[in-house]
Amino acid sequence: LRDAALLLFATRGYEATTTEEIADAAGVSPRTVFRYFPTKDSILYFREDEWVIGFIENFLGQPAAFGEVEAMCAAFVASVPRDARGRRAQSRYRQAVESSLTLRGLEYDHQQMAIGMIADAVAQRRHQETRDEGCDLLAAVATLTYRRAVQRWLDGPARADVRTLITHEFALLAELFGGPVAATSRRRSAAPRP
Amino acid sequence: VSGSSTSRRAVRKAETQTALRDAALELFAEFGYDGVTTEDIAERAGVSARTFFRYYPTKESVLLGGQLDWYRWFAEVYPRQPVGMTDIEAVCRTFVELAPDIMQRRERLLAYERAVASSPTLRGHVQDYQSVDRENIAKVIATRRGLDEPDESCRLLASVGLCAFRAALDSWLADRQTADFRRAVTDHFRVLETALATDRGQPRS
Repeated sequence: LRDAALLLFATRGYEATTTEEIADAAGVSPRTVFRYFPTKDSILYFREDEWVIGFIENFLGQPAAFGEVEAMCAAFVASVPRDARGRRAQSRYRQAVESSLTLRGLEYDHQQMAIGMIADAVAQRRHQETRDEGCDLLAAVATLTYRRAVQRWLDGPARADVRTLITHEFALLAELFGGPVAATSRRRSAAPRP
Repeated sequence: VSGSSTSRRAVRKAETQTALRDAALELFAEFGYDGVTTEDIAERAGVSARTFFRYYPTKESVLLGGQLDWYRWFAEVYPRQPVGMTDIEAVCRTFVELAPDIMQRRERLLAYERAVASSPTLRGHVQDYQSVDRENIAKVIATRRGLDEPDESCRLLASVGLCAFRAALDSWLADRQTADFRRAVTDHFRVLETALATDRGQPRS
């Protein structure tokens, strides 16, 4: 059902696709669609919580010796769906989002929810009772760094390894803050400064 | 004489624009963004629907149109930061310089936040405006770095800078105790510096 829906959303636009069409394409009745997915957007997001929870488990399982951002990067690298099917699904999802203003708003809401869950995990790794603004901000920045890497993967050649792109994007992030990782990439991208 | 009538016209124009925006914010707070039409806004401001569209091309531009000036302002202040300053410090300093202006608009910003919270469609518009903002800021950052075009590092910095600014704004709006928005900005940037400067930021091989 989700694959059928994603394909329709991507090719015909999210708003223009009806539940009946999704049912038709998947060879089931509209009632079956409603049983699984009470709303149209729930088709797009149904496994997202699972993914975030898996990511968080991985993050919390990273060695204590790792820095926070380092652990976050390692967990993204381990969790990213990187096979051809995952790439296709994400690419169709992006197209669906581009086709609908409301979906762009909903996507923001889902992102905020995921960031909240990740911020809780950051607090847990720090052995803090509750999350503070520092946890929120770190979760938000790590998430945007990851999303940029995935977007680059979707925009680029299919053979590229998304894990390398994630590691590279986190290295760029560290470089902005003068972190130790910067050394090699800074030499490579030495830009003339006024 | 003609100079003074031109300026009177400019004043009247600015007044109408402000009246329309205030009317829109009031109505959005009352009925939610999706429950208000451009006709409603014009009526509340005491002008015709046609006048509304002379000032604002779309309903969302009443709320989001002002953002454009904001980024023009960023483009003006950012290049003035001292040459020896790192990019991230310069971004932080630029937002700090913007703070007094933001602090004067607290009530309006709260009304704006309420309107945005009332409508997923409006949140979609906000995303679109923000991606334009990000690209504009990335260009300004590229210029200071002596690049013709923003590279991925400039774009990442623009995203991270806006994210930290946004978080500082949320925290300042949510908490009456944090009277000083400048403090909120520097605190948020410091959190990132602490987390990232001491962290390798990528897995050891």
